Amino acid sequence: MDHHDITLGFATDGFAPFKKRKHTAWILLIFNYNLPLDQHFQKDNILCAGIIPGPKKPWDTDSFIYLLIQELLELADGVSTYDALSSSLFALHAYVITGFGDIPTVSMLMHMKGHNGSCPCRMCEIQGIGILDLQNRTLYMPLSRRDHPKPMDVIEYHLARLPLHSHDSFMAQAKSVLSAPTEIQ
Amino acid sequence: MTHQHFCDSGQSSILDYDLDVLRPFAMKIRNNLTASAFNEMAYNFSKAGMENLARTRSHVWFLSRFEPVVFVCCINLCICYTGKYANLNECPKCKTSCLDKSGQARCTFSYMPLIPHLHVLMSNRTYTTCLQYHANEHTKTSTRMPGMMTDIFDGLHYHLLLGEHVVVGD
Repeated sequence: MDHHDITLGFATDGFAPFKKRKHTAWILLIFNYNLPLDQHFQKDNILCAGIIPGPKKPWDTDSFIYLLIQELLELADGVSTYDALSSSLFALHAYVITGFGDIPTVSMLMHMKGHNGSCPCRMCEIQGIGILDLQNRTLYMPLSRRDHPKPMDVIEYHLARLPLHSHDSFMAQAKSVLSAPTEIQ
Repeated sequence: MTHQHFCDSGQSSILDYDLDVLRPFAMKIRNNLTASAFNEMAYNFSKAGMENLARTRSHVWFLSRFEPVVFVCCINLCICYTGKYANLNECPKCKTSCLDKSGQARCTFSYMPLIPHLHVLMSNRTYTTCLQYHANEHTKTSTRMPGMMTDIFDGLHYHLLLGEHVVVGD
């Protein structure tokens, strides 16, 4: 890695600007990880790439971050920039090394179902189970399913050996979603 | 390290006159002053040389040359008309038109370009000195304490990826 290279982090989150938390706007933030540790997340050092206006959650977030992605591709190739320290031009490379956010945000960016899906976690393939005799459709993710009356594929998950998602399993799922005959499936 | 710190570090070429315009503007931004409050202040302090909001804004634009890129987006926030949607006039999700009867955009999304932002930051000597942390300081600390997580750069995945080349357009 060249000492000029910049490592960036990308995060987005929805926020409700008004007291009645009905409307949300979405902010796109860029962090510079080359700065000293204590200054990564200082307000003055956060770059705001844009605010997706509310009042609703965007249907296709990709079209909003498209411009950012285009610029990041350009930065990966290198952009001619003036360096104040050496008073010369150099090719500035910047790479996003991490993207983060809470569950609704990441599920929006990754086109997942979110925290109420049957497989809500972005990291592992743990299945959610419902309470049988209630009209409640909330799903829970206990590690042990021994006492649940419904037969399960997995009786118990071990914390140290959770079935993690891999890039290939994500891509396989995305393909099966794309080829699903109806929208609900 | 604040922006004020960057400005006052002695190497900036911002003139006193510019600072007189920038300070009230920074105050407006920090304290969420309304446009009318700002203009009223400008009226009351006109003898002290305070400019109204429109003049202040254009002065700030002249100094920064930083402009957001405005894109048309769907009125229901379904899509932004970029990329594969760039040539559409109607939202594919909710079938609403992107322009109103007079041809104006019904809703816009302002994108703040990253590259000009980085250009300006990299030409600031104080900021670029801070950026050297990753190249110089961090490597020192991690050799001092092997196996210890002090930073995102100590992660195993990051170190594995360091040996690889970035491939654009997979």
